[in-house]
Amino acid sequence: MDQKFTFSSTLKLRLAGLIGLGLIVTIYGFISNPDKTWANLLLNNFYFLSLALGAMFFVALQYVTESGWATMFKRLPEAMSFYIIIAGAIAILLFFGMPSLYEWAEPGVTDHDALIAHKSPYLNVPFFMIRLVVVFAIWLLLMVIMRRYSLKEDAEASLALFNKTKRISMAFIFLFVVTFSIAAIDWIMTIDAHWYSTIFGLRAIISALYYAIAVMILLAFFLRGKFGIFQEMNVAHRHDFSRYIFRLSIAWGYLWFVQYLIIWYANIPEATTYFVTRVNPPWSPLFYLEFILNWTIPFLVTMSDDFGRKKVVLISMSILLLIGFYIMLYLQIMPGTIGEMHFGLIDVGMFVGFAGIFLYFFFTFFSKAAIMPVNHPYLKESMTKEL
Amino acid sequence: MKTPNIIGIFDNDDQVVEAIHTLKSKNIKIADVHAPFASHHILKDLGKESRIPYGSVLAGAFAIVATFSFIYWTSVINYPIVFGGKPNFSFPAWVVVIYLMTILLTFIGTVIIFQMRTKMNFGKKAELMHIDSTEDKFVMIIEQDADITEKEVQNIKKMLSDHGAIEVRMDN
Repeated sequence: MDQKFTFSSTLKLRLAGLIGLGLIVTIYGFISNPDKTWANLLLNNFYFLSLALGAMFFVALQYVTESGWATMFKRLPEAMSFYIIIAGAIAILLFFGMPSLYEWAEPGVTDHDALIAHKSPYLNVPFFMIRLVVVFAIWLLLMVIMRRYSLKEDAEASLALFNKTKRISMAFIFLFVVTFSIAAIDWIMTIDAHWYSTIFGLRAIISALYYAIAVMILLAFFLRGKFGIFQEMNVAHRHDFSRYIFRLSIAWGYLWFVQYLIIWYANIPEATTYFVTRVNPPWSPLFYLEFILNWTIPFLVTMSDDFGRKKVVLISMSILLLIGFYIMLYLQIMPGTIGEMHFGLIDVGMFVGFAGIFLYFFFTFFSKAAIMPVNHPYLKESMTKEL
Repeated sequence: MKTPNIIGIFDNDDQVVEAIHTLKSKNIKIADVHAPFASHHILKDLGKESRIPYGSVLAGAFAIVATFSFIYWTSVINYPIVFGGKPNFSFPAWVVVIYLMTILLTFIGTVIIFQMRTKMNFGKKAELMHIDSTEDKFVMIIEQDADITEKEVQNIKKMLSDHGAIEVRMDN
């Protein structure tokens, strides 16, 4: 029961290879095309930060709703959330790339741009950095507390720890909604400083949970197939995973459409330019692909629960979703920063590098605790779950 | 003359599920179980998985097509009038209407399909095997074949009470 996962040296070496590749590409990128490299750094960091925070959000949801089905997988999201440490470091590094990423951060832009001058009490570099540090401090603090309670629970069985974690989870959900809205608006939305969408933060929150589930599914099947853990995973767990994808696909599609419909209907030039850029070439294929990959296909495929809970369906949907997430962020970041579509070596290489870091952190911290949270009150319910 | 059914009345669903397993392993056909609430276990073990979701999907697909055609006919073909400078065929604005109409028509359609399949029309008098099945009791109904022997009937009755049936009787 309390066996641990061993992070084998071959796996370590492979992931280190990915990280090395990413590092080389990043250095090459900074020499040949710094603007694009900064944009990619932001994109990939936000991509994996979303997954980490979404995983933490998932754990908190299980505690607050006192649901037991996912307790067996609890160490997965827990280990995923450790990427926040790296994300914080890279986000602070972004300070040096701000003039190339954000129009409002260019020195002297307030002199000739009235709108940005109007927004400057909020959108200025010192306050931006303060917000950045504060949100990361909150996430790191909550992550450390939740992990500590979780490890403590392994040593001593007590219901008090469960209740404490539940209270922390409530605080986390509240703080996550506020802080992640701030983060998404600050780092992504202000790239197009003249445009704003009030639903932007909510979209980022739903996306974080949506894609974190996809990563959890892939990791669970990978660990089961390669290392033989999570043998207790049965049709009931697959069913719940597929329901998560189905329902979050509805939420995602709803929010996407709400954002689009209001802007389309009101037809204010300031707001529509954002979409006019994206529905016209070269971005238009990605614009439609984003919606198809993130809503249409998952919604139609997982609608039938008998079909949606098949292993191959779950895995292929998760992979599609991760591609969809990349396209979503690519469309949010790239038109405003580099302005032209050149998907190439830098984009692929940096994504691979970041994926390597994410997985390296995941496996490191996954191997540090017992695979099952042995003393969790809902563990038995989770392991013997029937449909 | 119709042979009377064997009726077992149970207190909780776990006992019903166990009784179903035992009876099924002895190849005894259970006609139905009346329960105060929907239970997936009972439905699954009886082999009576509902096909109503497929009916709902059909109703929903019909609703999408019907609503789209109706709006298209009104605002593009029959009465093309320009609102706020939008084109006549302005699909994004229709999505909301189609979405809400899909919910409404799916619901109505599902109810109609359900009533047609179960032959439960409005004003139909309830056929209750036991009045408590509307409150807190589970009623299991086993239809007798014409050639069933008295010994087998006694056997079934014994099995039901072994599994915790609080009452076993014969009834039409």
